[in-house]
Amino acid sequence: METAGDIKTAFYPLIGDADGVNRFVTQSQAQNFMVRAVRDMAVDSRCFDAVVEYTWQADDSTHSFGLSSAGTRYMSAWRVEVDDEKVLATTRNRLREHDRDWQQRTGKPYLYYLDEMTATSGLYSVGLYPTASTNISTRWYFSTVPDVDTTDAAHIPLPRWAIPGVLFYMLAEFYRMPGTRRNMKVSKFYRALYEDVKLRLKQETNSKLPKDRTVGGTRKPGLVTDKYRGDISTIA
Amino acid sequence: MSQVVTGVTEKLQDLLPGRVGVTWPSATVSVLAMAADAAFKQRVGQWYVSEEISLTDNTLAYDLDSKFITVKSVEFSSDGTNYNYHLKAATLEDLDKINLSWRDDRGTEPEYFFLLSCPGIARDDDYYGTGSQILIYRPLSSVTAQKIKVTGIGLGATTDDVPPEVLDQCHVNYCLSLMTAHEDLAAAADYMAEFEAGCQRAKTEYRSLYAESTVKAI
Repeated sequence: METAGDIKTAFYPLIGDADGVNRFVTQSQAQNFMVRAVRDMAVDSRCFDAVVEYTWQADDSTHSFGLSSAGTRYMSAWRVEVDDEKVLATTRNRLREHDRDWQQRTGKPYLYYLDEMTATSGLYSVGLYPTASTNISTRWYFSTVPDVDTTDAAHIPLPRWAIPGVLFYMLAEFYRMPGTRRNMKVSKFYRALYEDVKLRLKQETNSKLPKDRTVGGTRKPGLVTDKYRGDISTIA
Repeated sequence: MSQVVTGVTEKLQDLLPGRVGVTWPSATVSVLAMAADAAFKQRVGQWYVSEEISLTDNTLAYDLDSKFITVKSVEFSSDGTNYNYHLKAATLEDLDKINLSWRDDRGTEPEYFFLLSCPGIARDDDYYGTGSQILIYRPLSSVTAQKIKVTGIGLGATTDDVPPEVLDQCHVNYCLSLMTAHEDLAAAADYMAEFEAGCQRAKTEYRSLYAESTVKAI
């Protein structure tokens, strides 16, 4: 399972439908489920890193990263480099306490800040201190949520082994929808499978990350469906 | 030995007579069989894959094949044939300690590697761009035939051979669980539990490689 087309190939027969027939779920609904699943998995696991190189213009105190040409959404910066060297994070409040004229300082930046910046949804605003006195190269390492394309040939921006999680999310959402096919117990079953894949993705991501980054909790994946065995009438 | 897709399809035809190819199109069974194989390999962690990457001048980051689940080792070859030694895993903070301007360093043999994004994300230039990447330090300023070989736990192909008992205990149960959940949830949960138990059995089996020696697998 690798592309959006593969997911649809499994999804429609599993709900007793077919792509093009769409008796129970429209193509648009299925695509929306898919996009939500990928975003949820990418946000929670932080499995996708993007490195953005940007020439910071002299005298610009701040900059906003919006949607790139590929449609990637930036979620959080975990490392910033100025002139190929790491700079440290600070906050606007610390800068104010340290120096009331901090906004007038110019030179080669050695700190960056992110807080009190975002006024527009969808934009990721950042600042450097002191304000760069000349144009300077910067590099921003972001955890990102790539825009999902649901065209059949499009790859899903998740590790290949974790892509069935998207299918489980779609099935859970389908069986949660009001209508004749609604079945909350089946929905919860698929939801449990989805959460298990997501937890595994967090762990695989976390185990390769630098030591100063942590995500996820201490819960371990396992027999997530155990509680559904036997008397299913006890399922809440 | 059975191949993943054909083996699972044959077994499901026996268990669900008249439904494979009708209720469940062959393409759907094929996708589910490969999903089962991916879940099995992620849990068992014993199937190794590798990729050789030819280095290029002054290049720090290289695309990593999407077949990887976890990267276990990276080796370097100066002649493109014989792999001379291992690269050590390092964080970018580790590299900062070596030299704050480590990006500008060049050498003749890389010593460290770092991974960007969780392994397994494919590059797709038509949609979102770069996927998983491996960074090496120090990059080579002038490459002749040098390569690195990345080895790790990974996914297989639709035609990979799998022991039939593994197909029975793992792949088939996984597919049956998904195919029957809307009809009989308790049975689907049992199938999934059988799949998990099958993975544990396979994991134990394949980790007992040195059962008769004094070497103990961890």
